[in-house]
Amino acid sequence: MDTKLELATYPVKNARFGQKTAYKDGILEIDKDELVSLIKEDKRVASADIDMALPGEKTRIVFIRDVVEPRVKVSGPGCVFPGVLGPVESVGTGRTNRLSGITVMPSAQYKPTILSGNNAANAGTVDMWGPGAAVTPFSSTINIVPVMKLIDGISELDAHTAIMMAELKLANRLAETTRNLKPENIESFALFKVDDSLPKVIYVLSFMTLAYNPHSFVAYYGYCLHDVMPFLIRPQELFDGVITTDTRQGHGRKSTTWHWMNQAVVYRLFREHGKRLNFLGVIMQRTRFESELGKHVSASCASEMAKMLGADGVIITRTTGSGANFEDVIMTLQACEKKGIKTVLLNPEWGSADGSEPPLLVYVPEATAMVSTGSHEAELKLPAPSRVIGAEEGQMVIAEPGDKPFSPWSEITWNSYYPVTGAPDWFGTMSLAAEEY
Amino acid sequence: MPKIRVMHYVNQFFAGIGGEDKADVPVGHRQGTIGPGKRLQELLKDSAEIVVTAYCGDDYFNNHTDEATRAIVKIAQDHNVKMLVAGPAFASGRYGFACAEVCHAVNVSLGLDCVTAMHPENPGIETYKQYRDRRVFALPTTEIVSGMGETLPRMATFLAKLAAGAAIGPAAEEGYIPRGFRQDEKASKTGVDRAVDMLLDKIAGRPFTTEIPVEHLEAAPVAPRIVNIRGATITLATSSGVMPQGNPDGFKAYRNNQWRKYDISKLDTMKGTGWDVLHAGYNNVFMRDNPNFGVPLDAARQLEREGVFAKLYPYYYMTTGVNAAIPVMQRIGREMVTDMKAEGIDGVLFVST
Amino acid sequence: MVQITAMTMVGKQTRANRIVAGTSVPHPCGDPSAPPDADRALRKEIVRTALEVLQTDVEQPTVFTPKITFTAK
Repeated sequence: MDTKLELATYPVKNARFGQKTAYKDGILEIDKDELVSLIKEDKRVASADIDMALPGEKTRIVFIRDVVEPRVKVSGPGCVFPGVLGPVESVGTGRTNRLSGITVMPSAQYKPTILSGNNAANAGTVDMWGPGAAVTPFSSTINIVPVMKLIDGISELDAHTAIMMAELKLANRLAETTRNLKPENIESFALFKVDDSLPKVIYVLSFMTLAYNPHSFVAYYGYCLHDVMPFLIRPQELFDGVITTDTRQGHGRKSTTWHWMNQAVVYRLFREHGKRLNFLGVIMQRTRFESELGKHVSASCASEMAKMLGADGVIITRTTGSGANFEDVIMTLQACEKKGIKTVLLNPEWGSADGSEPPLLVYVPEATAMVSTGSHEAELKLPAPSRVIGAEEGQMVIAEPGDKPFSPWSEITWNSYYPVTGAPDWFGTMSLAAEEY
Repeated sequence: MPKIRVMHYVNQFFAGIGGEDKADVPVGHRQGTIGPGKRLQELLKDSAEIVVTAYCGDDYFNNHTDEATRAIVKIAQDHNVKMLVAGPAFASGRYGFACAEVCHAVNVSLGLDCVTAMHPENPGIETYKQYRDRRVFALPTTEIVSGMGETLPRMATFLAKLAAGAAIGPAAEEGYIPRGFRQDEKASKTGVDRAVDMLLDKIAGRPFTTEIPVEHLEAAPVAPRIVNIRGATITLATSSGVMPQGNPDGFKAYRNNQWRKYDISKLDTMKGTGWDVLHAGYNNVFMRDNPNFGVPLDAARQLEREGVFAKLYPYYYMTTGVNAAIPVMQRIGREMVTDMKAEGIDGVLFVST
Repeated sequence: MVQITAMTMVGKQTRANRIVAGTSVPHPCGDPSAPPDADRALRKEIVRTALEVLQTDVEQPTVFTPKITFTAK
């Protein structure tokens, strides 16, 4: 019998800076000095401040490197973000408290040393209002933004570690405010035995990592996943933050840590478990093998694992617009269908700014069931904000090396959702779709 | 309010001039409605008025397309119409093609909304999808004319909607044949909820509709094989973003829109001879260290010396290909090929990352 | 034209008719983990195969695999 994980939710309806850090009746009070000194404990951080953005404000946040939800373990083994904030102990049981409706969203600047290629750092932007708000979930959360500058001469890996530690420590501190308080609601997640006639479903959670990067993009219990073959996890682990990401990269091209701990497909499959389906588990599939041999072997391995577990069907998602990654995903879909496992591919599309180009890179006859979460190449026109968080007056922003600098105080037009943190919608979190005209 | 003035386009048959024997009749027009236009006008009621009907023989149109469309556009202009309706053409290929061409011409030159109707497999639909005009709509019909009775009311409803200036929604909702544009929409359920529903339908064998249709690119013509490689000039080309130090021509790492060729006539290898890499789609470390991985000059030079082929072209062609727009890349490809042909190149080794 | 690529699926989709399978996305012509001599020999074999493919009749997108050994990631 599977042991349950309880997620206890403490919704944050409002937040403000004050004399102490405390949660009461939906209001989070934050002692700014306390949190700033927490960040400054790390000598790699040259300067730090904390700002806050509320939904609906005409505020633009820039130099975003990641997003995380404040959570803390209150019973059961391990901690939230095991392997990073504490020892490696299998998590996903006991109780975890979460502050919902609020994020920690680090904005950080440093001098990058990798200046080209897909291992270069990049930074994202979030608008709390207007057209930019429609494409990211982070326009409807209260965002606590540590604004940091890192020391000169910092290495790429140290830059990542400094940003991540600041982010996770802050999130952990905020979630600590809920300890011993009564939650608004508790939801249990367990893979209990169900009626055997229900369709058996596996989630193939494919994610891109780069074998050669300082950080591979995705770490499991703090261990950077490079060119690993697919592996099976207890889905509840995700809710306890077993996945952390490369916090040098805040573009929409990367799934944020927030998306991993609020994994929309896993939430949904748990909630359907025992009702409409039998949720068997999550196969974590690292993608973007650089050779076709690697891609084929990974596809074979993931599909064989799903078959062995008795899956009738799989949902497959991906995490980047990389074409090389898409090949791995399509090969996996083909391999599953060939073994008699029904597939649905859930993903955003390409299609160019006016929607006239093919939505996908490669088509195979087996891909008969696909759900689109909209194009990530549609035009985004963002009006000028009233306030900017993360940049000094008059400063230009370079989202990634080689990009044209832009002024965050001005109107911006992008032919891509990538520059926006949290967009595109890789896991079907939002209600975006695409229609044919 | 004055009624919206509409022009109707029909072929010689529906204009009542004659059948196949009259297919070469040139463009003409008559005031008011003819043939199916009469019933269409009744259905349109007060929403719009067909003030003129233009016609043309199917063969004439197909053999004199430019001339015929010019004449038809002029009739529309002279009659100061605000909308065009063409057909319905059912499965008639030449008529369907004419309807699609006329709609496109009138839309482009006069900016008018156009509606036509034909069978989805009519070749005219290919023309319609090629043009992808935002304000030209084709409604599906049966293959045969017996579908006239149910087609005209749909055409009338659609025309009335356009005449009233209403926004036109997605193809599936409005009933027209999609032109091939996709646009973001807000759905009533989250992406994951839709995915779970679709998977359970698929497992249970219930009907479901994919949200991303399968698209096929057209086959590219096959270049004939090189018969005499020992006499051939071969060039190297790459989309890996290998370029001279410091990106002198200002390439973009991502969504690039240009190409160049750079001199390698005096070199035997790309390693350590002053090259740089700019490409956001892969890890550039290896390529930077040894650009022969993307421009295999060392190997090509050896094979040239061994006489496997006659001559290595003194430049290599390059671009940076990552997330670029397809039309941009097609243009780059065409320009490169034009240059290669002018330079007498027989074969291309194109390396892509 | 012959396309040398480690993503032959994309090559086929974009209707390249003559395709030679490269070693790896970031280094299609060679293997940086091999000793320099072996790497050069590998690259020569890929280019030699590509030249052979230019002399071969095809009817549709076709993938040719050079006779090489490499360490793949």
